[in-house]
Amino acid sequence: MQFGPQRQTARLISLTPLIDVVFILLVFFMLAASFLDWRAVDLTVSSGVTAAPAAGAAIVVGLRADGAAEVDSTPVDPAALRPALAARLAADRARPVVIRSEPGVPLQRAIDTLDLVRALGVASVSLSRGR
Amino acid sequence: MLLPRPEPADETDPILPLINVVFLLLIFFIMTGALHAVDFFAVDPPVSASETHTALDDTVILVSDDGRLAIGNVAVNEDALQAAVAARLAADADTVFRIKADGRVDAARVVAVMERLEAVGVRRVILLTLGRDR
Repeated sequence: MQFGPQRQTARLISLTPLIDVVFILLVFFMLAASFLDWRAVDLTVSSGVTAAPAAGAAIVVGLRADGAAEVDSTPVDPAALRPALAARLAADRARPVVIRSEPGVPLQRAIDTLDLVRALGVASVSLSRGR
Repeated sequence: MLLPRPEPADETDPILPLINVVFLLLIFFIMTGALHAVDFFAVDPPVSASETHTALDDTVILVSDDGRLAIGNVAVNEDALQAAVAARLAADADTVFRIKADGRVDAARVVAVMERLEAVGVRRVILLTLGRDR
């Protein structure tokens, strides 16, 4: 019995299974990978309930559930919050600012206010709740 | 006219550039994408102008849009959260806790959680947000 040369079949490993596996891996990593760009907002935990440092010197920005804002209990148009704060900070930029949110104020609004305060150069901003 | 039959080895050659590209894409996604466990519940984080980039780890406290809490992918209530945070602090006093809260949750709710953390000795927390440009 004699077998002929089998060069035609045993010559090359088929690439198709390799491509299959690589495609599956590619799809897995494309779907499972998270490209979210996480940022950190550093907060000192000072609730205002317990001893807030130099609470008397702090500027309190109040956020009301109906969309209104107030600075040190004085109602301020939310659009005019930035100049109102800038005027109060002009004398002393080191004054801490407390953002006091009423129940019903979404976190995004508190963070927008926090961004605004940070943009004014205030180093110490804390979140608080009240009323 | 009789043309010679083409060599069978040539049949695989046109696929090689495709494989090269697919491998490159695969390596790109492996290197740049971050794999992490799925959150206990979906959280739509707020955006901020913060420039500090950060990564996620297991000290993330989740606050859902209706105020539910979870830490380390375990649903907890306020008391259980305090206990879990105290246990982690006891293991490592320098643990930095990250709060991943939904942008629509009450800010007062998040402050209440921070007050709970303060009660067990946490001095500093990080609020996780997404970049403003997204």
